[in-house]
Amino acid sequence: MTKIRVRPQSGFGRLGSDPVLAAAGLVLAGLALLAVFAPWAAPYDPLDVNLAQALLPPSGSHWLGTDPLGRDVLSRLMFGTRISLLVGLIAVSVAVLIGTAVGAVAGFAGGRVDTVLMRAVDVMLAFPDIFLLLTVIAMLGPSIYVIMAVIGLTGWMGVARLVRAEVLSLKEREFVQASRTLGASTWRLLTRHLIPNAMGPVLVAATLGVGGAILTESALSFLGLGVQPPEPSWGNILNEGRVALGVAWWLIVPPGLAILITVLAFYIVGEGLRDALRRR
Amino acid sequence: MRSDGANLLAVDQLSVTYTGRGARTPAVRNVSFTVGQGEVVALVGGSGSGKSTVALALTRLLPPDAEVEGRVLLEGEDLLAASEPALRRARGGRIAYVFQDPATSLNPVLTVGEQLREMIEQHTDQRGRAARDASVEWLGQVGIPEPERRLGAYPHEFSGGMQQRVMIAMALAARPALLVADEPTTALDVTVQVQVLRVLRELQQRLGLSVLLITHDLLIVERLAHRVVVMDRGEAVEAGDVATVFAQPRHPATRLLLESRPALPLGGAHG
Repeated sequence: MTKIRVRPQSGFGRLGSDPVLAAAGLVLAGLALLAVFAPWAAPYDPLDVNLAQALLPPSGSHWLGTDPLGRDVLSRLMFGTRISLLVGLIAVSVAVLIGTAVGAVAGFAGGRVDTVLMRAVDVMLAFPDIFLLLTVIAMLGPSIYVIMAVIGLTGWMGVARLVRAEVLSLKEREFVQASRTLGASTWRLLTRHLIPNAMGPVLVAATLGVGGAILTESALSFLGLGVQPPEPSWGNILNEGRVALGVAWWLIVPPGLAILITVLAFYIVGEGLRDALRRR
Repeated sequence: MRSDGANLLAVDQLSVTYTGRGARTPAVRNVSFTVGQGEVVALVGGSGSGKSTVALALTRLLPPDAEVEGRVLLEGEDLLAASEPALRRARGGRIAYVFQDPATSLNPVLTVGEQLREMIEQHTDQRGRAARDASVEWLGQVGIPEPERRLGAYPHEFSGGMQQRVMIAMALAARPALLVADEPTTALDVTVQVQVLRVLRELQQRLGLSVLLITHDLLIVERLAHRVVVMDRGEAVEAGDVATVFAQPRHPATRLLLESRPALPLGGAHG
């Protein structure tokens, strides 16, 4: 007989004993602060064009230099943090909502409902995401909202499978049976007993998913299909820097590193959460 | 304390047959018994005798491949003929269950207070503050120290005995007409068993609870029950007052159960 123990402190305890995990956690906390306080932290207006100051290398007044239009790269990166985190979080929230609903219903209902929903998941998984993304963007036009929606709508299948698997085993557990004998309705069983107990692995998947969503957003923006200039995102800063690649390394390296470090931090924290859950 | 007036529960010719995979497997055959108001009736028998099946059949909690026949009259109303919404209100609200293993019967991610309040809000008209106060009171009733403080604790922060007290509190908080206790102490340490039994007996006497006690342990029957129904291979083979049945067992299954009882000086039901 297994006793499950939910010890929130086990996760945080590990943060202290694992320096890499702790660093990744700090990076994410720092990014979140930066995103929230970008208007106050940024030294310049990220949209402020000043052709007299174009393509300046990093210096005391422009720590990361300026772009071909004379905009401050550091300020643009800081505002880009907002876009990237927002897209990542909202896209993953959409995916988690849809995935949890589909997975919980499939796992709980079983039988034909389960078969139909899971085949739908297979179809979605077999569908090439990038074409779907391009088609939808071609139809609706590139915007940050379309990006969030499309990344979310193509990313829920993994969550659905996870939640279904959890619900399948949870619904046989005694406390679920017990609350049924005490008169709990199907809705209450799902929302109070099954879904909350299935959230551990979903949290891990969501953390990893945010990293993936940020990467997708950067790629789309780099291709000019994502966040539209002059609004800065890490991907389109890279894209704008592409033309001056030979002369201005400071347009490419900082946004590239920002993407790398952020995505890496999400993956490390995601893995850390997975370990913490496995350990309990 | 014991009133032999109207029967609270009358089970009449109850049969359960499993029909899975083409084969018909009878699990319970023509079982009849009654539980009076304020009475404790024990359903005893070895493993596989069908006693737990009877308990679950009362509110049609068996899997869909189980065929249930007969009548289950609770306060005169046949539950086997009741609609699904009426049954759901009856589950927990009119017939509440306490199961064997409290460690797995409580939801690990909700606090004890949340789970109690849920029961109260679902089955009584107390809401919010009143439901919270009622939760505190029920935790106190089952002998949990500092009930106010323990409301915010999670199930794993309780010992096995305390968890079972919480389960009892949850079952009783809905003010059911009948409490079904299915092996309520089997998963507990022997010393804890005694404490939980004491709580059950005290509550039964103080609140005049009607209890259907399901167990294979005759010591528990002696301590708690007024009447006993012995089941063997799906049939009720012997019934009567605890003292009478234990003094003069007539059916071999009853004798077997009595012989397998450890000889401990624990005293009688009402001593």
